[in-house]
Amino acid sequence: MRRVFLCAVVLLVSASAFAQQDYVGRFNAFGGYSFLDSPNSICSKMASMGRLASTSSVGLRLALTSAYSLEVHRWWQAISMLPHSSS
Amino acid sequence: MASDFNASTQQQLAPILVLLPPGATISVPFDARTSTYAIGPQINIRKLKKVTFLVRPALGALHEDVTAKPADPLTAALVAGLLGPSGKTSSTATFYGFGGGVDYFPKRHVGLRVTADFVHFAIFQSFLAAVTRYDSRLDPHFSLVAT
Repeated sequence: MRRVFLCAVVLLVSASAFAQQDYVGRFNAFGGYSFLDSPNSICSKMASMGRLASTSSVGLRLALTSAYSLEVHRWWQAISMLPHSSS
Repeated sequence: MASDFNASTQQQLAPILVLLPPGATISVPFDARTSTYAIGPQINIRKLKKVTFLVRPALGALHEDVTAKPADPLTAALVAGLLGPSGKTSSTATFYGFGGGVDYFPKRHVGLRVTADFVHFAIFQSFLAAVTRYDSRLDPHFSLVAT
């Protein structure tokens, strides 16, 4: 299985390894949304998250990125009531 | 296992905590709303035609509003003792860490971004113990990209 994975990676990389990017956008905008429903006996969480981000290219290798995300979640979590230990 | 509350909060809740058996844990449902702002430089590694690897420091701030929803009289008393009758509280914290990811552009102007950020932050320091108030978050997300 590991060999198959390695071969797949090598093939993927070799297919485009000699093809450098011929177009680099100066400004990128990103939008994303995620939803999580994670029932668990210790911590149950249901969350949705929206994300907006932008990237401004300064050069080929350097960019300035900014992002805002809003996450709304409903969950419960077991809280330990034992005396606090500093260790 | 230590308490999730700091020492002063444990003192504040002492009249209630003595009623609990040793080692007790309770569960308090709550709603939370978290806004995260991040900004900083990013290094792009463009060795492949359609794939760009990116690494960056993760710097920013987050603000969280929490409303506790106690489901029984005991947790209601704990929440009221800790947060007041409204059961609401909020906290703002800065975070730092690092992140990285991959952009895949099958087309020139549309792509897919997968990133993960591993950050440290201290939130709700007023009542959470130090062992729990420093948290790390792996934040993977998929984004559609327009460029």
